[in-house]
Amino acid sequence: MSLLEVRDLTIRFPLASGLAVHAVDGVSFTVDEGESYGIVGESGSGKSTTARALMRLLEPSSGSVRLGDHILTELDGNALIEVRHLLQMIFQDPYSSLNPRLRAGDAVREPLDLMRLGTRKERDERVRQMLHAVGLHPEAARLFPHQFSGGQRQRLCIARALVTEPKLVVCDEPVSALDVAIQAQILNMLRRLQEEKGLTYVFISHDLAVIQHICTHVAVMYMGEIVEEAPVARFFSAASHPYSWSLMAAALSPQDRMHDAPDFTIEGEPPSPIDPPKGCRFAGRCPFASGKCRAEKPGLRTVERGHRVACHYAGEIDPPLAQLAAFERGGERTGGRKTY
Amino acid sequence: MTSPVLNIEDLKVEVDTGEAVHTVLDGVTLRLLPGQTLGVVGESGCGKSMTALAVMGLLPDRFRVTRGSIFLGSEDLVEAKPSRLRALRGNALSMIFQEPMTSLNPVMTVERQITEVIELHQKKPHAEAREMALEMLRAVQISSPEERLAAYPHELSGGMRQRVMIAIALACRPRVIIADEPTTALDVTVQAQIFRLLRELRDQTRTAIMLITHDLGAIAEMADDVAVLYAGKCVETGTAADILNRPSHPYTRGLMNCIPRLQLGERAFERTEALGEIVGMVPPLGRFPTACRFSPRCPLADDRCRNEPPPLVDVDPSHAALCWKVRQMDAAA
Repeated sequence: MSLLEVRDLTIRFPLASGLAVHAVDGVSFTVDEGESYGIVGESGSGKSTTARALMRLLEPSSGSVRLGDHILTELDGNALIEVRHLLQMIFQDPYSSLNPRLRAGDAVREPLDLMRLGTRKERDERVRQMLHAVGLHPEAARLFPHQFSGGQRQRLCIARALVTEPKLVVCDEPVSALDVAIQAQILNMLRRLQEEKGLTYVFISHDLAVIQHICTHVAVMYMGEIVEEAPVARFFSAASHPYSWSLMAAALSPQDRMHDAPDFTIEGEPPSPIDPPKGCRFAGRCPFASGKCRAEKPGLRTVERGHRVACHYAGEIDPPLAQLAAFERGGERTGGRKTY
Repeated sequence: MTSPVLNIEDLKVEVDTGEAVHTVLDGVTLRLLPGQTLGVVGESGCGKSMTALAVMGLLPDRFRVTRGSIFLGSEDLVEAKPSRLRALRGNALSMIFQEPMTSLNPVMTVERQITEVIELHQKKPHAEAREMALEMLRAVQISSPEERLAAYPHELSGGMRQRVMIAIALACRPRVIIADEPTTALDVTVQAQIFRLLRELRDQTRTAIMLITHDLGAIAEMADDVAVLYAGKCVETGTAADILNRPSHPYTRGLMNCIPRLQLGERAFERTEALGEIVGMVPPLGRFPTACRFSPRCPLADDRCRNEPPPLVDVDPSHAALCWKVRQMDAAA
């Protein structure tokens, strides 16, 4: 049985006008223990809203979330608090997610206090272990958040998330607010901790290169829906949705971009989530869209074991990806990149 | 050879905190050629934005230029009077900021914000300025520009706001544009659109762009030449190809190794390697090491690096690095 099962998750935010913002629309996926499930998408794609719903920080309009034997969407009050130690979250901004008046050691211990796990002595010992695990000095426990750098604060947030020995850790853009050198330190640490502790991640990012580095599976979200999902090797060798290609082109490394990598820049920005288009939601920006795409919504269909795509023409369009993958290092940039 | 439009020579900026005087920028020398983009990279706290503000004459209180010069053509901006700088800003020199939301005026229409600069600097009547504003919106590829003139910033998407910012910056055909992290706040697919737009406009107008960024991907997209700043010093300069393909300073190499590199096609089945790390972090102001400033974080540092300021070593005629170890690294490679 999978560790996490999300079924038909839908989240709508009603507006005063009687309309609603469709933030997440019928999202389903499962994550096995020890896997790392990456969700990639742009702002407004619903990836962070999905993360918050997993944590029950937001009430879904419909659908269910199961973690192990617990149906999280049916729990409340004390029953919810009792399973809280099984799922924890790491937020994007380590500046606003730590209480400025709480010393680091107390901040890391707080989840244990709230959930009444262990004796006082055991809790202090856990905090010491966790600070060590995230590469902070034991003395750091006495300091306040403002005395730490951004990278150190994110280490504290990670220590606090892992102190309850959770089964599932939801990471919402955990490195986006950090400088590149610090990003690398945190990403390496998240990967090491996952391997050491057998953690399961749901990892939200806008950057496919980061997702490939951390994750075993990728789901691409666009306007509240999953448009493509695959195991990571399959995705980066055979992604079939045009939106996935545009995210891939945007995630190419600087060295690769210096060469003649094909450019796959798509036009426009996502349409309003209040009244989404009735056909394919990506059709308005898709260079391959036909009348069928605008009229008829493509379902998420399985094209190979574990690989689902929501595109009428999946497998039929020659992917620019083949060119992305085929081009070699070595040549210098000659200018004149190909634009679709 | 074309002469530089902006020439920053041995620039030193200091801040007086009241308790001590700290060096923010130390001996920064940069050149911008017309129609070219100079990328300025480094982590936060390295002096990228201070360089931009010094050029614009917008250094915060207590910060001042204590040595060096900033020539715009033949005019030294360091010596220029505030009134002269006001006449240049938005006119010959303009700036695009990171956050289009906070740098546009929320209670002014797009029309007013673009015509304001044109009327102020070019003394055009409003009707003519409005025509020019419309032309600018077309130039930045905004759809239905007539309608957008009447819009307020909150009615525009993030990408559209940044296009309006670019229209304002370009309205008076500046000789130099300083773009400070112009795409950091935008979605990745919109970033690609903005880069393309900036490239096209630069090629049409021959404006020089100083692109300030921490994103080496942006450098690859936009820059002809690159300067890498670390702790207020320019540690490496060269063409974009030099810096990205053959970085010579250990700091630049470290930055390149920190970035996860997409593995596509067959390579998607290989396990990704752990990322390179640069240990520690940029020292705060006032705690810059006296010899090589990168030495505490450098895997190659030895006693000489910690005790003697490193020389500027020419790797190529177009490529130089401030490091004792350049030759040694070349020999090893």
